[in-house]
Amino acid sequence: MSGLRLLVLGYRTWLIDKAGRCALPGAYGQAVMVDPSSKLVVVHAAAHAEPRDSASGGPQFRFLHSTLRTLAALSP
Amino acid sequence: MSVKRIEAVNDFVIKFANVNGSGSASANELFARAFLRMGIPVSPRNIFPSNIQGLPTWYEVRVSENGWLGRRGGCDLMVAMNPQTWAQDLKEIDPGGYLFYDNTKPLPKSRFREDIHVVGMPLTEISNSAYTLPRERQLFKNIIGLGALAALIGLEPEVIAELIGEQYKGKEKLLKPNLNALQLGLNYAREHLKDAIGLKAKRAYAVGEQIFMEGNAATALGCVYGGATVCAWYPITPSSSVAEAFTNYCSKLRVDKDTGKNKFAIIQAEDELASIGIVTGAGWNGARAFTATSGPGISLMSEFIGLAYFAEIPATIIDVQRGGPSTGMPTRTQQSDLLACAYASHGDTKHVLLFPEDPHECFTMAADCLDLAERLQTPVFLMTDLDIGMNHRLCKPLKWDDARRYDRGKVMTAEMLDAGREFARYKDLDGDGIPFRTYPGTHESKGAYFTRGTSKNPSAIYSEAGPDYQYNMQRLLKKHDFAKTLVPKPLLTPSREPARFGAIYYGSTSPSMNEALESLAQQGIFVNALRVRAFPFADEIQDFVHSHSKVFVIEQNRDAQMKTLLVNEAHINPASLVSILHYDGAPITARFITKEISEIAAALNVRPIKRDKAA
Repeated sequence: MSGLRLLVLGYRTWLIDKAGRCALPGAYGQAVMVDPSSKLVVVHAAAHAEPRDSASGGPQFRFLHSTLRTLAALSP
Repeated sequence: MSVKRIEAVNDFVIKFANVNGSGSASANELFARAFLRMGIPVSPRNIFPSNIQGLPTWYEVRVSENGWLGRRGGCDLMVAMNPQTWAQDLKEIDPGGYLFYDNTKPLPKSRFREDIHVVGMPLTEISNSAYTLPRERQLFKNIIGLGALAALIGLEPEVIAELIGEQYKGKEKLLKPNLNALQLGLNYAREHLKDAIGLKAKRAYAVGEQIFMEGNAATALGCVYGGATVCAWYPITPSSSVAEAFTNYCSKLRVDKDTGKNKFAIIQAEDELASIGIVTGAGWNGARAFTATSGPGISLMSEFIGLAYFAEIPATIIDVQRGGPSTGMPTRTQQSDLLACAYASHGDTKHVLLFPEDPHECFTMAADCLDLAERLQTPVFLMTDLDIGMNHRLCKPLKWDDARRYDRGKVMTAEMLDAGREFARYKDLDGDGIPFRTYPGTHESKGAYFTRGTSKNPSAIYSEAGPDYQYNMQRLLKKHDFAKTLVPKPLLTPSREPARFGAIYYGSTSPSMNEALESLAQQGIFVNALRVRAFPFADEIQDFVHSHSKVFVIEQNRDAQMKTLLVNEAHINPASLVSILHYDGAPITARFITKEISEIAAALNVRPIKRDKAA
């Protein structure tokens, strides 16, 4: 770990906006994203070497972030 | 020395400095609405004094095609019409910005700054030449100025003419002189002030389906849709327009079509004590009731709020916050009633608070408050403020799901009583701390109870026994804890890069925070942001704080009231929280937040993550 903390682990559903878009980030890079308006669920099952792995987490984080932003922009 | 010139298209701040009562409000609002008609988002803010006439007033318009609706900070163009605030107004202009003023009476060079561009126009002279009546001269001077600004900035004159037409529909006598004044301004600026200002409006398509409304009106509409039938209030700035709007909406939406009878009761009481008393009585009787007030009103209502808490009576309280303490700054904004409302009244009390960010949430959360108050049988506060309540704001269209049914909570009916269901008014039957109640007159022989503010046993029988009191107080605590499963959850805005820092904010700070997050990201400072929408706090808030090395808590009060609540109620280590506090009475700005966070980040010896390295 470089001391860089990744966002929040642990058994929570994180609301991203009032449309109900949410993310469930987990340990070892597992993540689920839900976009109710498009009925899309993205599951990221790839495992990182560490529960919190900043090196692998960065690109994954950017991917999740961009996907959420894109979904928000596309929603009616 | 050549002075730099701010050049911007659809992204700037214009501020009007006026004398209260000079008739400028109408022209200012026309100016703001013209941008909207051109598809450019704006966020205007009235900064006004608490007297009726004579003192300074400002109208600040944030123009942003990107949709930033908070105050940015600074000013690109000052329209300085108030000699009393001239020096102060000049100071606010960003270097390279513009000063527009009435140069009918020339001013010495020493009254200006050298690093700004001065645009003078003889507004009084033009108006006096065209009009004879003193009142006309004053009012049309504003419209002449509006015409000049339209020409300078590139607002489409047809759009403004259309808006004036709508404003004076049915008052044709006023329409023509207004259009004439507009044309006078346009003509002068086109002839004498060509390209004097580098700020330009360009037609865009960024407003979309958003609506433009005041938070107080949205709150009132939320109360109508949320099923409120009783409103008791006492006038106080900045909340009065909630009750006034509720009155207007009810007269349109809540009158029986067949009988013509009102299906609502609105009472302007003799004071705040009576208001909350009426609301508590109505709630006890099964009606959905609310009051609207501000900080001083909350202080006066405290005793009744305690009664409603302890006797477990639903009540919705709209607190449109202003600057305190005492009479404080009645017409300025603050988020300084959190602690007063969270713990309102004597003894051990804790109340549910909801924090709307804009008129859209004022609408939805007002209705939520009415549901929560009945579900939890307790006072629930909608913590809005002057910035949201009394300014027009762009927001998502209001929508109501007709399938939604009011949550009346645990109400025991005559049928349930006849079926042998146990009724004990203050007994927790199913573990959530919420007892069943009956409406008065539910049954001829069952389900009656004595309502009192003194201690009682689970069956509502007067009791001073320690165990009875403790049972009741623990049940109330359990109920409060259960409330966190019902209130709106916090919303997370993840940064686009992994972040060390988090930020917690709430209410009207939201639009400025959104812009600040983007500014910080552009500097390489990435911050995950969590918008708290309710108290008691969701468990996510603790996780959020634990996941960051430092969490900024941004609020608009002196004493870090949200931070205090987070430490006291969410058991968060205060060392992990850094307060960013803004409390001068004006709404917080994006620049203020950006500056504070970037300076503290630097002080914490953090090197910004360079995007090229992280990629």
